[in-house]
Amino acid sequence: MRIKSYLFLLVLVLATPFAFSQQSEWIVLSGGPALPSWEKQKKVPHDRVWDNFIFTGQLRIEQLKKEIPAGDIITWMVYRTGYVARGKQMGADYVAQIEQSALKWGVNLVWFDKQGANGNELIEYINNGKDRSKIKIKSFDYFGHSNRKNFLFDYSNDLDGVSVVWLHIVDLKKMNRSAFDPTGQAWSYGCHSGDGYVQAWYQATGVKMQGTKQKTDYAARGWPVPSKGGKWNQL
Amino acid sequence: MKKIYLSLCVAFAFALMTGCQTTDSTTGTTSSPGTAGVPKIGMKLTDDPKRSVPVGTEFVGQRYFSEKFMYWGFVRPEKDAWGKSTRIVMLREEVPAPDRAPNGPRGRDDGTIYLLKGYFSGEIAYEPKSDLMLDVFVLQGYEVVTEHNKPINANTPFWVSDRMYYRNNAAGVKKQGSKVGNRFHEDMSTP
Repeated sequence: MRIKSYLFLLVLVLATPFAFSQQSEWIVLSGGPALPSWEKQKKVPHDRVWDNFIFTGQLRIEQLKKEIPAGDIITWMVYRTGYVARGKQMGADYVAQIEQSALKWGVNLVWFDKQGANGNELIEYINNGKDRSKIKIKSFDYFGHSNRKNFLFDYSNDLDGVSVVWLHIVDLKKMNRSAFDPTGQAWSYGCHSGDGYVQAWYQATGVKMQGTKQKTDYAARGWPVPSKGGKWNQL
Repeated sequence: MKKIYLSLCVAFAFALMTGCQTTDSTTGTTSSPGTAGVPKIGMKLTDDPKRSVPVGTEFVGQRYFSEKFMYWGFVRPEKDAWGKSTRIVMLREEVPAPDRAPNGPRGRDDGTIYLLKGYFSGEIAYEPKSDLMLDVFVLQGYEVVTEHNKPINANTPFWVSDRMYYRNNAAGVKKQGSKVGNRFHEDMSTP
């Protein structure tokens, strides 16, 4: 009987860490800003300040720091090229400022430069950035330019009024569905995502995303809000 | 009885150890990059292996301006007529586009035909108002050929899966699918 008891205890000791130490990753994604040189002559210039998507990403990080279980990972993915270009035009080192912020918040900063026709860095991170058999993506928040079909990490930056780095809905199927925790959540704070993108996201990942069918307003220097009295829509 | 008890213990342990893992049998695994196509003579591949662009350093371009879109206009090789080889392009401006100078509104050269110096970079740009994937032309210089020309009816967008592409239609390229052109003028604007 003693042997049986010892054996049972041994089994419990060996198995318990696996059963209760599931680690999760919480991703905050910041797209890049437009360039004033393209935007200054437009009726409604985009991104009058450089850090619309950085500031709001930090709001989310601050929130996560208070809420998530100890041991979980906060990863802040940022489209670097956009901040290099804007910084060059403004005579500032935004990349260094973002790195300092990441250090201050103690988050895992992941830069990316290529996604869409010119590369696959974002999807590669989602699929293989961590051991996805053990560390699932629990939460995904996007701050950046978008339309109904596309997340535009580059917008009116490299070229006037268009994007060269994006995550289009047709590319979502490249993401490994099992990288995501099906009980997790996703949120797009970009424009018009509630009108197509959130549905495609759910089909691709099995995770429900919230977004708005309206434009989103970042002018208040707080959480982005849907314009024209719009609402956040979940799938 | 002892064997049964031991088996149960082992099974219990196995269940605990595997319960926190997820099998990778679900769909959506990373797709392979695919095999790059072989471009035809006079063409070169782009960032999208399914499409190619003309090689060369001199082209003919016609400006098309609309508040609805951001693309620059149509470009074709000098030797070709408007039609089969015509491309809708975005410009990467090594020299400023003709209407970029501050002494007038953008698009004031609508309908102007240029001899364009430059080349197709092989980059693809996404035009968010139309959901079009466009070729990027690197502008290195230009000369005005004629002004106030009629718009070119050389391109009809079409859909592959859920993505819109364009193909010039002057040569009678057949329409693909029922969505051809339906959403061309849809507002896909960004914040």
